Amino acid sequence: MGVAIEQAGRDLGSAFAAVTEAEAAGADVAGLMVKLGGAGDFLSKAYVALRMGDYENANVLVIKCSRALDGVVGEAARLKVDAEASRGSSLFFAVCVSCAGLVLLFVFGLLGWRFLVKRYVGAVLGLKPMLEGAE
Amino acid sequence: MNFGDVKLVYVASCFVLGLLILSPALVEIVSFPVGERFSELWLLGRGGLAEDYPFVVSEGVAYKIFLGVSNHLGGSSYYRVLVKFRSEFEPLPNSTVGSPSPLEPVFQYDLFLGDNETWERELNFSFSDVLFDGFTCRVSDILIENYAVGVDKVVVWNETGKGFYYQLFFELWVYNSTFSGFQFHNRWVGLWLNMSKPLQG
Repeated sequence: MGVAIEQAGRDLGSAFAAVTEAEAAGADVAGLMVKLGGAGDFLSKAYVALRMGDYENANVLVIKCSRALDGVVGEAARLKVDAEASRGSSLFFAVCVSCAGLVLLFVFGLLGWRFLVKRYVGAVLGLKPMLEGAE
Repeated sequence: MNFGDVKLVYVASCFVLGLLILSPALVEIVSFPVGERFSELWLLGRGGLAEDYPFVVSEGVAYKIFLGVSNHLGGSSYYRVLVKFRSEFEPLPNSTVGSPSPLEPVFQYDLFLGDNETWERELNFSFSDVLFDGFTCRVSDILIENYAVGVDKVVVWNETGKGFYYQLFFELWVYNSTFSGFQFHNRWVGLWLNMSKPLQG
C-alpha cells in the first residue's frame, strides 16, 4: 500500500511541475490548481489512513487521488503551448509597434529639427541691425 | 535660452519619447525586480483570533483551532503541513540549522496555493485513552478531523510548570520541483497543552 501512495505522491508532484511550467509560460492555471488541491486532499487523507492501518480506505483514497489527476498533465501542456504561442505573437506585435514608432520618431524628429533650426536662424536674422540710407 | 540649450532639450525630449515608444517591447523582454519572497504559517484560537488557544486539555473534549498558510513565493506552490505531537522532552524542529523534528506526523495537509493566496482551515482535535498513573501521564490516541491516530506518548509530572506537558506542532514543507521532493521550509508553529484529568460530573 505504501508503494501505491508513494507513486500517487510522485504523480501529484509531476502534475504540479507541469502546471508550474504552464504558469511560467503565462497560462492561467487557476482551474488546474483547484484539481491539484482536490487530489492533494485525497493524498493527505490516504497517508493518515495508512498510518492508522486502514489500508482499505487508504487504497480508495489513492484511487480517488489518481482520478482527480486525470488529464491534468495533458491540460497543463496544452495551456503551456497556447501561452507560449500567445506570448510570441504578443512580443512580435510589441516589437513591430515599437519599431514603427521609432521610425516615425526619427522622421518627425529630423523634420522638427529642421523646422526648429530654420525658425531659430530666422529669429536671429530678425535681430540683425538695419543700415539706413545705404544704397 | 541659447541654441545649445534648445538642442539639448530637443535631444532629451526625443530620447524620452523613444523610451515611451519602446516600453511595450521592453515590458515583454526585461524582467523587473520582485519583492521579498516568503511563506506564512499561523495558528489562531477558536474564535479565529490570536487568543483563546486551548492550553489545559483533557480526554474526550474537542478543541478547535485555525491553521493558516499564505504563499508569497512569486508563483504557485505545493505545500505540505505536517501535524506532529510530542511529549515535552521530544525534539522540536531546529530553526537554526533548518531541520525538521524527527517525529512521525500524526496528520498532514497537502495544499496548492497560487501567488499571494491564503489557505485557512478549522482544525478539531481531541484525545482518547489518556491514563494518569501517579506522576506519569500516557496519551494513547489523538483524534484529528475524526481520524484517530495512535501516538502513545508518556510524560512525567513537570514540577516547575505544574502539569503534564505535550505539544501539538505544525511544520511547513514545500515541494521542490528540481529534485521532485519536499523540503522543510523552516517554518513551524506549536501549541503547548497541559493534559489534565477530566472533571467528574
